[in-house]
Amino acid sequence: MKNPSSKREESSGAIHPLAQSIASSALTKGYDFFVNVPCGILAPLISAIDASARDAGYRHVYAPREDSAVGLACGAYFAGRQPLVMMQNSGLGQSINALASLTQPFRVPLTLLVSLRGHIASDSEENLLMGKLTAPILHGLGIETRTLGSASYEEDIVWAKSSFASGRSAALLVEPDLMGWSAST
Amino acid sequence: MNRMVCMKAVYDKLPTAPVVVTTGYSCREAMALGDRSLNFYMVGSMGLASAIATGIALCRPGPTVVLDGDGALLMNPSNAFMASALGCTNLLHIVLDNGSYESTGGQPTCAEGFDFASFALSIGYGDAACVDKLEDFLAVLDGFSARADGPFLIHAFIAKTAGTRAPRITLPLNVIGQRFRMALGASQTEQTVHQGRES
Repeated sequence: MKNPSSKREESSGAIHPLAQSIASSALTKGYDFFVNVPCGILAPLISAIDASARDAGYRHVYAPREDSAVGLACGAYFAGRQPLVMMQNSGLGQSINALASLTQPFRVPLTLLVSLRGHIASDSEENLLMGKLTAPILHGLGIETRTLGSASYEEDIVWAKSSFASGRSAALLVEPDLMGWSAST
Repeated sequence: MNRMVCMKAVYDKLPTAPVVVTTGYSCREAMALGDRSLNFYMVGSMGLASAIATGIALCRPGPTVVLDGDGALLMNPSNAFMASALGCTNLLHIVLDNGSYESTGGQPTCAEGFDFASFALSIGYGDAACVDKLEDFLAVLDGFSARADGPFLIHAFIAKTAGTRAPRITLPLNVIGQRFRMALGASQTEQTVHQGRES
């Protein structure tokens, strides 16, 4: 009853190749604790991470809220892990106080993977404003950003890992169509 | 029973356990009582102490304690559901309930009459207790290691006070964070990197 992974196993289909490559890079670069709040754009990556983490014996947690995800990852960091937090940008709003008053002042270096709902004009109206605000909010918090796929995916993960190793949080932004999501689906 | 008496009981009964302390006077009094590198003083991000403690408990054997408040639990009860879903049997979730937000002027929380122990059991905690006397609190702490299949919640009623004499925390927050991480046994290499950045 309290083992969420047991309920999810039947839902896994074929793993998206790009998502698998990003997940593999993340594990290779030492990420060993994964937490997400679900998002349609990130869904292929969440599946790939879930499978890869399970194979490697790492934790992958489905959190109920984005600030809960940040808090959980913060605890994992204190216990020696290198966490990766995945969320939709609408939930970035939910986690601003956790980033502003917990991880940034305590210098907890989190790697965030944030999807960009509202990045394209055809997206739902309720997502458009946060689509515009995502990068400015992160920059205002002192968190560097980089668009996933701006170079090779492996280089993106190396960039995030180097931020972690130097004690800084960093965010990889995921554009809606990267793994096939579209606003009409 | 008051907050500092409860904190001292936790230090005495679980001397090697990491303790994540919630926002407000709880942090100030926990430090005033005796600073420990195994304490994490969560001075901001109200409501998230239980999430941090859950992350630690998932990654580390042995008990992890969160000193939560009634107002803090109400601010983000999602974390209690998460701790339960993850089956953290080594998480001791202590809710110090004074019915008020003392550090912002003593405004009442909306928790009056709430039974947090029943709430915890209803969402799958392994066990829960409700205490309002120190001897009962001590007895429950003594029995902590010998219980069931999920987090343990102690709902402890404490006296509401008019204020605290404990001073604000002045230790730099990055120092609190990094020494806490080191006390939990995290890698020395990363510590060196972080300290190097500060100099």
